[in-house]
Amino acid sequence: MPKKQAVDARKAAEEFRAVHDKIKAAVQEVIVGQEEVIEAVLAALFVGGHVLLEGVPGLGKTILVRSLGEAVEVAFSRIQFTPDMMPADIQGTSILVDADGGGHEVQFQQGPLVANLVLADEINRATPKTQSALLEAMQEKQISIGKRTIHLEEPYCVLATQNPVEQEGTYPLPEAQLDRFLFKVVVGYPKEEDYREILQRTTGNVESRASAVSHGKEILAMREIVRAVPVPEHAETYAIHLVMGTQPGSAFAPGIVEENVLLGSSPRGAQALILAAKVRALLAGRFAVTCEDIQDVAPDVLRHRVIINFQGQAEGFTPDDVVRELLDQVSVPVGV
Amino acid sequence: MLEADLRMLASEAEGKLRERNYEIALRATLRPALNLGLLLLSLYVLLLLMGRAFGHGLFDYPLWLGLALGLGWPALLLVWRVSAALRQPIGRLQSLRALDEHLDLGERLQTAAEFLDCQRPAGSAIEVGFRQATLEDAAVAALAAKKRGLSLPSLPRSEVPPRLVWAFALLILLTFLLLPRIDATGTTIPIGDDGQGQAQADTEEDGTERDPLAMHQRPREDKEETPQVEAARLEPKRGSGSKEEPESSRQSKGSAGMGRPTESAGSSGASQSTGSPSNQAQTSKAGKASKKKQKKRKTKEEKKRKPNKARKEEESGSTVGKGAAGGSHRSPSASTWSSKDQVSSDEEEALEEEDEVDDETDEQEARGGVQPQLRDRRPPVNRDLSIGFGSGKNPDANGRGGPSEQKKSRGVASLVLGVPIPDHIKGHPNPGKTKITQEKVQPSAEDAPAIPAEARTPAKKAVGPMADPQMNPWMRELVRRYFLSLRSPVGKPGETRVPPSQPQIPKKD
Repeated sequence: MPKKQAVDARKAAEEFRAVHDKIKAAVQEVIVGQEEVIEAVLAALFVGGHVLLEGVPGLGKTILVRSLGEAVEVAFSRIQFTPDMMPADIQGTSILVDADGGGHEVQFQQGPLVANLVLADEINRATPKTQSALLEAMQEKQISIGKRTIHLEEPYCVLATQNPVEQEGTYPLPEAQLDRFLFKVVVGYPKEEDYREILQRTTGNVESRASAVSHGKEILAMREIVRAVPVPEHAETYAIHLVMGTQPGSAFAPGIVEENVLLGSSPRGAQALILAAKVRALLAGRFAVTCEDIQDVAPDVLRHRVIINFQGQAEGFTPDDVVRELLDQVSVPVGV
Repeated sequence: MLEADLRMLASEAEGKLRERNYEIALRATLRPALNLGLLLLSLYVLLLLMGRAFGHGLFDYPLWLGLALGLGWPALLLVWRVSAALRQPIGRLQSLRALDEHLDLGERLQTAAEFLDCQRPAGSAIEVGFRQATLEDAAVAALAAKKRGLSLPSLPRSEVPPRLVWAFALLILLTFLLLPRIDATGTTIPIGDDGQGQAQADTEEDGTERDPLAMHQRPREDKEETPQVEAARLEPKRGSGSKEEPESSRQSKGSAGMGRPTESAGSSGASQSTGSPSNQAQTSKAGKASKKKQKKRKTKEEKKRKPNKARKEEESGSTVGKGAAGGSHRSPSASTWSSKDQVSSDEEEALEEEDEVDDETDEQEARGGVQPQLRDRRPPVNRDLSIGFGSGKNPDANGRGGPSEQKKSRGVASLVLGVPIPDHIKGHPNPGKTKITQEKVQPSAEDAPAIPAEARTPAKKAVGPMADPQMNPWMRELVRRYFLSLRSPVGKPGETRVPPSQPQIPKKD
């Protein structure tokens, strides 16, 4: 006879899948195709991570994030990054306002970073100084301005976009900030069958908008469920080996890493692997993480954490090549 | 219950895995083992066919040992790999993992076994629930696995490749071919060595590889040779201690001028010398040496052919002894046997060097006198009109087309004499570090009383010590008299007035 706790766990897993599916369906009312991208963004939302969406203009990155903000009833803000933007523009600053009884007083005005769902559009157009203003918000979920510290409300999720082709006048994200993103998702072109639907939805009189189907508290409850998914030892070991395999000089690094990688993943990479694999396991109807789940999420998790060195760039290696080779070379650990 | 099921499944899967490992090892080793045996036996057969009998030199062991090695090593390899595969430890989790993969259970059995063994306390209630749910799923999967029976997927029955069949057949054939060659004493009989076989092979090989000219001469010589000479000729070939240079190498030296390729001569020598390995080595050395010489001679020939045809004709007509190759002391038509006392290759090279000097002298005389050596001639004057490009300076390019001083202009400008004036003064004013020290000083009021204006009066006090110019005595006297004259009343008797503009300067000695 099944135990009560097991029954509750099964119910929780089913609830998670239901919430996931309804948010996904709401977003898909606006976004056609791009299923993997939507899955990745939702997974990041459910584990409390941030996503960097990379793709050429016109693929619907911004609309996707905006639709997610509409589907989940949370505070949504959008920051269009420009080269002349300063940290105070996004964090907030003190301004002089008229006082009630006459005269003026200094009042603090919050920046757009104070929200639940932040769309950092074209993040690589801002200077590193402004980009760095995001570091504390993304990791510690707080903003420090002078003596003032603003704690950001959960769920807090930064969804940044960047254009990989137009590099002039842009500032590549520093490694410290890249590492703070749970996923780097490459947004590709839609499939042929998706084009027709896109044209029908976007060229008519009716503007399609996502309906609100969830809210912040529900997202937080889902996070609790995700974090409770147990990880067997062999899957944990596999994730560790994969992350260590990206580091040149480690025992698990294959030849391609030794020769072509400048910097490997940090322990944040292993955390991200496990968290994302938990979501994947729940969605697959399992109650524990498997090595297959880790393999599925590894490209999105490790892509931006592997920095190719000069030799690798000269030979045309990409981080995706390295991760692919890593998955081939690092064997699944076998227990005794 | 689940734990017992998992143990049972794991133990059964372990046996299956061991069988599978054995099969994999067998399949993986069979091919290299066969290839290795085939390679060894082929090598032995090849050596036998080449006339290298076992029992000499490098192959100083009987054929039965060779056969044993050829078949034994692969067998040993096979046994070692298979036993290693059988001895490989297979754990419980590994067995369950294999089952998971086979039954597509999503690692449920392995995860359940880990959770059962795990001593780590579960965190929240929901985590405990997930663990229990995992175990429940695993129990269902284990039951299903027991019902389905433990049949691990058998390895794909890959058809034995035809190449392997042929290799195996060839191995058996070679074994049967070699076995009869072992006599009762354990020694081997080289293939093809049945009495006169060796001599017959010699004559056949001689006949096929000798050059046409030698073929023409050889019968005549053979007729002249007595049976004793023939015996003496064959003696050094069969003996292993012969130090004489093989005939083939000598023959290649003599006939190189006739355009016969040295390689063919070398190979004929090798085929003739069926004796000891030392003989073979000598032959190869001589072959290499003759190859080098042949190359040298070819280049020399080309050089000599260039000047004119007449000279070539003259040389070929006058120096018969030199031969067409220009380096040999023997006539191309000379018999190979007539030059047995020929010098060794090193000595011959020295002689060739001398010949080169003599040839050059002869050439100069033929031109009608001693000419300067070509190597002493200077290269022609550079006519490069460029003056270099960018920062790279061409030392020979001065813009004038000939050896002269460095010039930096061309055309009419180069004819104008001019003094080069630098564009700017080099160097930095005030070289060295500049240090600026800033001090913060508070501004403070200072008393600055105004000085009242007044009329200027004569000095009331002594002016102070003044510089005492070192004046000559005559100048001092002159000044004294000048001032005295100014103070004295005009027209006072006894006083003379000396005009200051006309001092009396004494003459220098």
